[in-house]
Formats: sequence, structure tokens, C-alpha cells
Amino acid sequence: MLGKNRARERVDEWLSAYIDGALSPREQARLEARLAQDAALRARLESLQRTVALVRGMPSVPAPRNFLLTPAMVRQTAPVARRLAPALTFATAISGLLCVILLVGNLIAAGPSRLGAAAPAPMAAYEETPQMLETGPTEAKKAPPASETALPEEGLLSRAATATEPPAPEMRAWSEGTPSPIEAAPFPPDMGGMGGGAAPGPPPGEPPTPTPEMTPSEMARVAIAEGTPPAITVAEPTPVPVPPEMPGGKPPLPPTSWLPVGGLALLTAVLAIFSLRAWRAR
Amino acid sequence: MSAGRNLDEGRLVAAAQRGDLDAFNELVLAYQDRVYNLAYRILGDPAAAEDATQEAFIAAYRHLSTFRGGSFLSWLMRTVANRCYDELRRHKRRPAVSWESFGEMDEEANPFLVNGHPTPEEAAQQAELARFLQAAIVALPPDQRIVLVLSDVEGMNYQEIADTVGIPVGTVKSRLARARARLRDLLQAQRELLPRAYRLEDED
Repeated sequence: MLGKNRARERVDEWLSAYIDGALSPREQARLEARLAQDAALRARLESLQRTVALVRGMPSVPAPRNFLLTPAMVRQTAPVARRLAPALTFATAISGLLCVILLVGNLIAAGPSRLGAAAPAPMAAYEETPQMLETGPTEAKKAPPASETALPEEGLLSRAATATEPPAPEMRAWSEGTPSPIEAAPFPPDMGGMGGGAAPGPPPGEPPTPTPEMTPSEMARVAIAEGTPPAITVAEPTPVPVPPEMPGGKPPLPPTSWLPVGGLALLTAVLAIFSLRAWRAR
Repeated sequence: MSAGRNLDEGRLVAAAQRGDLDAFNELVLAYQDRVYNLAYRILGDPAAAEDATQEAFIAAYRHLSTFRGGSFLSWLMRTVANRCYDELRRHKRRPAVSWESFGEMDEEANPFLVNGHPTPEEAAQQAELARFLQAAIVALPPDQRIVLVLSDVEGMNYQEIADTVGIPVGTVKSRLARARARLRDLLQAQRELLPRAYRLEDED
């Protein structure tokens, strides 16, 4: 059925081109030979020729009015594009610039977190925060000093910072023997071999004895030297509030921080499309 | 085809390109019938054809700098054909006179059917025939319609049509053949509405 229709279309195509004199001499000779033998094909050609003649003989429809242009008509249309194109281009540039600034700002803000995420152990940022050290000397013992272990750059920087800076308030509280709120926080089981469940608890009656003047790494060394068994604090899984100013402990940016970047990128794209059209309309 | 006026097209175009609106308006007066007729045959609606004609002249004036010589009329016709083509694609415009409504006309309204004989007024008959044909043309799919009008109303060759519509010459040939065959079938199906002299019959 489809083949038959296609064959009919093909014949009509030849006949139509024949009417226009658009067949090659060879094609024309072949068609004329067929026309001489095929009455149905001749009738088909004749009906097509009459159809074309009818259309070609249609009278021309005169214009119902004059279409003269006035200066106002020309002015009304042209300046719009002329004005819009530069303005749209400028808006596109501003929007794009803002988008880039916001993107770079977000990347800088999220930078340490991203680096932390690239560390061998997940949640590595926790290792570098003072809260980490507050969990007890065992943790310090398990985590080797910065000078002894190859750590990611951020970890080195963080350790250097914690070693030189005075202890945070929480650290002082811990040093004075008061329980730190961080002690209630658990460590994820995959924290670079610091899983609390795997290590035995500290024997009672042998608490570590760090002095308040000690830096966290010194305290860790003291604990190692004294052979203090690991003192793992197992606590309920509650979120740990991390002060934003803590080195290396910046929390990852919330997803909503990226919304303005996406919005600006979208706006830039839309403005770019419109300004392109405006330039073309000029 | 001549514009019916003896005008120095090259001089007027050059003056218009320098911003002489009066010179351009001379070209408008010379070609507006051709432009309007093409728009009307493609769109099938007088109001839409007026809009397309006016817009085409405005667009032509604004883009005169892109005219690189040759036939200004051909360039102008391409401009209006493109606008009509865009209009057809954008709005799938319904024609003012549809093929279906034409077939539903009663005998009194259709002079070709009065007692089965043509009316004596030849001019009226021609006008009615043209209306009948126009209804058949706008019943064609837009892609086929524009090719048929450019070929059989405007007399463009295959290459000119290909350049105007932006399709290969082979596609022009096949679309034109399909348009003509479809138009023939439409006219044959409604041949009792046509005056006897114009009826398409299958016999020899």
C-alpha cells in the first residue's frame, strides 16, 4: 500500500517536473515514450496540466490600500532594537559578572570543606578541630602528631594552628577537668581508624593528667608516653555545633547558598538570548 | 513580470539605501500589488495579507543595506514570502475561506450551480473560480502551499524557490508535485462546483 502510494507520488513528481520542463533530456524521452503507450498516464498528465493552468490563470488581487511608509513608521520600529540591544548586552554582562563573583565567593567559602572532603578519611575536618582533642588523650594518642604523619595540607595547617593558638574555651574547660559538651558527641565509625567501638575503654582510676598549659599535641604526646590506654567516650549521636571561625572546621555551605548562583546563571543565559535577538533585529 | 511602471529601480534603490524614504515609497507603489497578491495567496486572509505586506515593506526598508544588487523585486518577494512562511509556521493560521465551507455553499450562493449552467457574467465567474481555487490552495499544508504559490502564482523557478524557502531543490520538486496532485484531487472531488469549462475530468 505504502509502496503503491510512493509509486504514484513518483509518477506525479515526474509529471510535475515535465510540465515545468525540469526533466533531463533522458528522463523526458523515457516519460514521453511511456505517455505514448499509457492512456491513463496521459489523462493523469492532462488533469495535472489543467490544474496548473487554473492556478497560473488566477487573476492578481490588487492591494486594497497603499502601503507607503512614513518616517514615523520607520522610526517606531528601528530605534527600539537600537536601544534595547546595548542595554540588554550591558545587563547580560552585569548579570554574568555578579554570577561569577558569587560563584567564586561560594567556592572560597566552601573551599576548606571541599579540601576536607578530599582527605583520605571521611569527616576529616572533625579530626582537626579542637573538639576532637577534647574527647580525651586516647584520641590524641590514636591520631599521630602532624609532624609524624603525612596528612592533607589542610590537616597540617589546622594542626599548626591548634598547636600555636591558645586552647578554645571548651579546651580550657576540659583541661580544668570539667566535662566538655563535646564529650557527648560520638565519632562516626569511619573516622580514619578512630572508631570508638573498636578500642577498649580506659581502665578506671587512671585518668590522663594533662596540664592546662599544654597544647593539644603535647597532651597527646604525654598520653602516649604514659601508655595511657585509650579512653573512648561513647555517647549519644547528637550533632556537634562547630563554630564557623574554627580553622579547618568550616561546615559545608548549605545547598541554598548555591541558589542565587544558579538563578543568576539562568538570568544571564536568558538576557544573552534576548540581546542576541535584539542585535539581529537591528 | 513588469511592475507596470517605467521606473529606474537601481536609482531608487540606491537613493533609498542612503535613507531617502520618498525613493523607497516609489518602489512601494510600484510593487505593492505584487507583494500583496503573494501574501494573500499564501495566507488566504485579506487582513493577514495586509499586515504581512506592510511589515515586509518596513523590513525591506530597514534591511536595505543587505541588498547586494540583482533584481530588487525578487529580493522583495523573498522578503514577503519569508514573512508569510514564518507567519504560517507560527500561528497555523486558519484561512478566511475554507475549502469545507466552500463545498457547503447552497445553489443560490454559488453561481456555478444555477441550473447546472455557468452564469452569463464572465467576470463574476472568473472571480468565483478564483475564490474556489484560493479555498483549495489554502487547504494545502503550508509547506506545499508556499511552494505552489511561489511556482505557479509568482512564476519562480525551482532554484529561486529553494533560495527563498531555504530548502534543497529536490525538496522543492517533490513538494510542488505533491501540492499539484493534491490540488488536482481536491478539484476533482468538488468538480460539480466548478463551471463546466473548468471541470477536471479523468477521461481523455
